[in-house]
Amino acid sequence: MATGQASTKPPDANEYGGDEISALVLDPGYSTTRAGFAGEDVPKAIVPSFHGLIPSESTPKHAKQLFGDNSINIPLPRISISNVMSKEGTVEDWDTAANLWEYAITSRLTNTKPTPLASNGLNDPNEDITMEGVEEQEKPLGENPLLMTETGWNAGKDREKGIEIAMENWGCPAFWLARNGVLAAFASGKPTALVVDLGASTIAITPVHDGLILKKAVTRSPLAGNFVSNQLRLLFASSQPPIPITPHYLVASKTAVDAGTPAQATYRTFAPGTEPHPSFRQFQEERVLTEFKESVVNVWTGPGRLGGHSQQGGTNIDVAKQHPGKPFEMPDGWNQMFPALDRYRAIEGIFDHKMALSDASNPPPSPGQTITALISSSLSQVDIDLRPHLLGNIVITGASSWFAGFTDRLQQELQAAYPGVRVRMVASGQMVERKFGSWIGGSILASLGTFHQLWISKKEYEEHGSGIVEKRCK
Amino acid sequence: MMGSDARDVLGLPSAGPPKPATPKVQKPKVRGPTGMSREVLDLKYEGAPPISIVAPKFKEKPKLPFKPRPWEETPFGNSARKDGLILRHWRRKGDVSNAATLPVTPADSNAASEMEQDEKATPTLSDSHWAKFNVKVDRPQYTDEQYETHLKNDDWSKEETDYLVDLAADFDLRWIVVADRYEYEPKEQPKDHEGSMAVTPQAKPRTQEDMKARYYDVAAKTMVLHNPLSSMSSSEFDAHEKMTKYDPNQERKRKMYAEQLMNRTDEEKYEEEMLLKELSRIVLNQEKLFNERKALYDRLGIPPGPPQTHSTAMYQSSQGLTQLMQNLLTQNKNKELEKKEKRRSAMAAEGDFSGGPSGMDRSQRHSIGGGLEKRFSFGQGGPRQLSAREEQKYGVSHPNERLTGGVQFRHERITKAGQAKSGVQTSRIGAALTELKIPQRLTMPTAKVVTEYEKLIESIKTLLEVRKLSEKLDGEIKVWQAQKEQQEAKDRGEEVKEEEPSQVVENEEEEDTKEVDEQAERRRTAEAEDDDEDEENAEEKEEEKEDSDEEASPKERNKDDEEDAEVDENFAGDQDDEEEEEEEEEEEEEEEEEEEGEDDEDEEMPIEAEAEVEVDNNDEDQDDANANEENENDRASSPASAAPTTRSEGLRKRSASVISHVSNKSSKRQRR
Ligand SMILES: Nc1ncnc2c1ncn2[C@@H]1O[C@H](COP(=O)(O)OP(=O)(O)OP(=O)(O)O)[C@@H](O)[C@H]1O
Ligand SMILES: [Mg+2]
Repeated sequence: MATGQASTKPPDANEYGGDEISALVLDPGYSTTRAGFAGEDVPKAIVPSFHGLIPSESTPKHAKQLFGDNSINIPLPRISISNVMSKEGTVEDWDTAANLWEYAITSRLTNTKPTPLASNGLNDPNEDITMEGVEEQEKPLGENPLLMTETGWNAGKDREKGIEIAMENWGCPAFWLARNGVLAAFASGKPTALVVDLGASTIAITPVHDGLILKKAVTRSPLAGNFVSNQLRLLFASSQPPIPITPHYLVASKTAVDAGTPAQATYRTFAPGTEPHPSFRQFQEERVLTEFKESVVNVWTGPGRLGGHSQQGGTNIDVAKQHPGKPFEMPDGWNQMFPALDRYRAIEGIFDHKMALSDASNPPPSPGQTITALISSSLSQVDIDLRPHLLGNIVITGASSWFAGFTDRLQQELQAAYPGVRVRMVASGQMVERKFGSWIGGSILASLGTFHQLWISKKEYEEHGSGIVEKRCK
Repeated sequence: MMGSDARDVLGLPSAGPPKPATPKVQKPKVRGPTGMSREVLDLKYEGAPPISIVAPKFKEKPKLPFKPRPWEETPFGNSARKDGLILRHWRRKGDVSNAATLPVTPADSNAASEMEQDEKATPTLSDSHWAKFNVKVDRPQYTDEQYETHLKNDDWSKEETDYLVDLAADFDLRWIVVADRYEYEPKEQPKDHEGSMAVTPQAKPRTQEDMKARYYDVAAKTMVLHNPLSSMSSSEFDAHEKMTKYDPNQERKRKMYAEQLMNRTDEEKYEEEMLLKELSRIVLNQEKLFNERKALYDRLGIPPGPPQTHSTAMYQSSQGLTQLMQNLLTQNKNKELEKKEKRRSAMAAEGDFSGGPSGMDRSQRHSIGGGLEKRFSFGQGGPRQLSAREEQKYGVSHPNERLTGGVQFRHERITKAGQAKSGVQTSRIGAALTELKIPQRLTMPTAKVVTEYEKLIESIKTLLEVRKLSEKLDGEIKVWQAQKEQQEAKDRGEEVKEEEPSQVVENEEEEDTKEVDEQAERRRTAEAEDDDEDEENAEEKEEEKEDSDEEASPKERNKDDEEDAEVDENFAGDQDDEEEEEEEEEEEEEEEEEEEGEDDEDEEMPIEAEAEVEVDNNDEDQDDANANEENENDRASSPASAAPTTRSEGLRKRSASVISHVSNKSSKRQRR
């Protein structure tokens, strides 16, 4: 009896400072968009930021949009894949992004139906027709305040789009826009930290002081998950014979083959005119490469860099050649033992620009783009008093930081660069926390009782317009 | 029951035990052969399977003694917000944990149009529990007028100042963030004259220090404007002080150094580490040294202050030490002298106790070696009083003469004693020692033995001198005798001239004997110099004596020639006596050596001290070689010779006794 009573009791608000108000947290990234209720520890809805487009025959201008893992991975006729995010990790296609986010929120979180396509305004040639009274009723998020994340370098008009969508399209009672770096620091329980976020599109270094981003010192470079994928593509192409990447959808059936021998599989063919767009294949290849990254790619953990000299006198490359390889099987059954050097090589470019593979479409990275250079340049723009604190609280987040040995290597590089300071990494050992660091931080923030007074209310939005975001969400 | 009750009422006796109200229905039991389990029996008799057929049923609902309270989504306001935003959270129905309530203002109803129904149900909204955490810094307030009169600054326009103050308040004075967000863009200046171009002043680059300096300046001044210094509370005053004392240049410099510190290379860091280690080592040793010194002072009987606070800093220089010594000596001079007198008489009774390292040496040694510190419990309020026996055992002496600085080695004393000014003399001493069968290097040089050894050497020196003299005189006598015979043979007639030279000889002889006496006296004084007489003094005496010998020698040589045979003979006789005495002494010494063998280990000295000592000695040797007078002066000025008069008095006394002793001897000799 007594226990039954205790379990139904809410946790004392004073204990953890939480006071949940059914707020939603939306964390869009280049590879996935995460959404969920504040106060939970994992986002309930994780949808790819990619969406499928099927051009309609009658009206070529209005392509059918497909969202979610269940629909965009099917090789529908003439399907093409595009991303709402730019290569910078910021939102590019706001209209589609609004649909994608609405899909993410309504499909898993709220039981409200997504706004019918007919009335969501996008397909309406004449916008004046919509009646306000009707709109009010149909808004999907009328009761949920929304916290959205943005990159550290998001600026100007892009910052205002979010509140416009939240207030106008979804009817949120309150809104907040937070930097994902700051939130990742919150997720690690650090109000002051140097957040190193390795996502798909960018490495972002965000210095956070007392829960506030130091905008001028934010640095970034494109040497992140996509870069590693491209390194793998170059590596496969340059190997003898070239290693083909065959995505799952192309394989109709396969039989097991020995390592290194050509695959024996039957491949799917598509009737002329119904083939998927090359972007679809690209997207599907990316999925294979992610699998490869998860299981095979490894970070050289020293001593020294992969391109450097070992303590015994030889090169580290020679040392690496002695390390064990790892097997990988492509979807069509082709498999091979990947030597250790290749496993190290694919990611070494993040640390050492000289080791990066390049070709015409993949220009070699500049020395300033490596992760160590980014951190150094970020630190140099921060007040000297803060630097030791930041170096002592380096928060590692983003799924691309999950490569084996990454944290050790970064620790080594930084300690070598700052011998006089104690460098400490804060990297969660839980993959979920690493992948969804910024969402989790948002979940914490939006469920705090003290956050109630910060929300931008609908009334404030109506009074001041979307410019209020710039004033409030600093 | 009823029956028994009726019987009770009627007073009838009860008829047997009352029957149970409901007789048990006895089920016929199927009994099989015993010794078989029920399951096995069931199998055998094909009875009903042993499965109880129970209809599946949910667990019964627990009957709660209270009604469950439902949860409901409750709207609430927040007094920290000005827009009356109403949010909802799940609360138990009727839970009034949030005591604070917000009156519903008309403004709220507008914003919360969707929640009208709820509002009707709850006319007052509960306030957020968190509203009270909304704390803001006070923004410095000033009017345009105040700005013009008090806050004007050439470098900062009013617009920029306003911007800065707002920004600082926005970020709650987190200056790092303020500096990060500082993006002041000066507005276009209004055109002054027609035709002139609009001037857009360049935004000045502002460092964090500039901003802080300006802000603190403004804040401090506005503080005074609103609240004069005199009426400020202490915390306000402190804040004001801090703000006015802010120095951006110093801050900049500090940051520069901090940056340099952070950008150290590995080698620099390593070097610094090494230096720090070295420093800590030095500091550690210093402490050790202080402690040793302190122990020494304790030993010397400095009035013990509180041990923690008693600073030894003033005694760290040699000057400080000398001063301390002087103070101590003058302070305790009379007392110590008294003591010494007493002790000397006591010692005289129980035998000569002397030599050994001086007290100073002793205590130093203890503090250095540390081995004996437990026995000499220092910490307990001054030094322990040692009994006479213990003092003897540990070789403690109480000299009232000046002490030489530092440590001396006994073997040095031995070698010094065995060495004369000239090599010939040294070898002669050696020869005499071998003659006496005493090894040049003592096997057991205890304090006593060494002192005795020194005495012996002194005696040998005297002996050698006297021998030399006697040899000379012998030769002389022979010459004279030969001359005499010649003359007697020649001038039998001339008798008048004969007498003159003998007279002269007699006179000279008298003088000579005096001289010899004086020398002997001095020697004896040196020997007889009290046991606690300091080494150095003894040496000085010795050298003094030797010097005087040398000075005197050229003249004396001539006079020596005219020595009398009588004296010679006497000395020859004396020689034997002395040898006998010496042999006796030696025997004594050997006995003593055996006794003191145990103590010797304790008396070994650390080698480090040697260098210092030697340097001292060398200096003194040189001084001595220069002039005795200087030495005398030195001694007069030096602190340890605090009692020159008393000593000279003692000397005089002793010399008198020696003179009488010598004269006795000579009379003895004469008698012989
Ligand atoms: N286990 C793993 N090991 C290595 N890389 C991984 C792993 N899992 C996912 N990735 C890669 O991480 C990237 C996605 O990371 P993340 O979800 O943090 O990015 P994002 O937030 O969507 O993108 P961005 O931050 O650039 O906007 C992809 O490139 C994916 O291939
Ligand atoms: Mg990300």
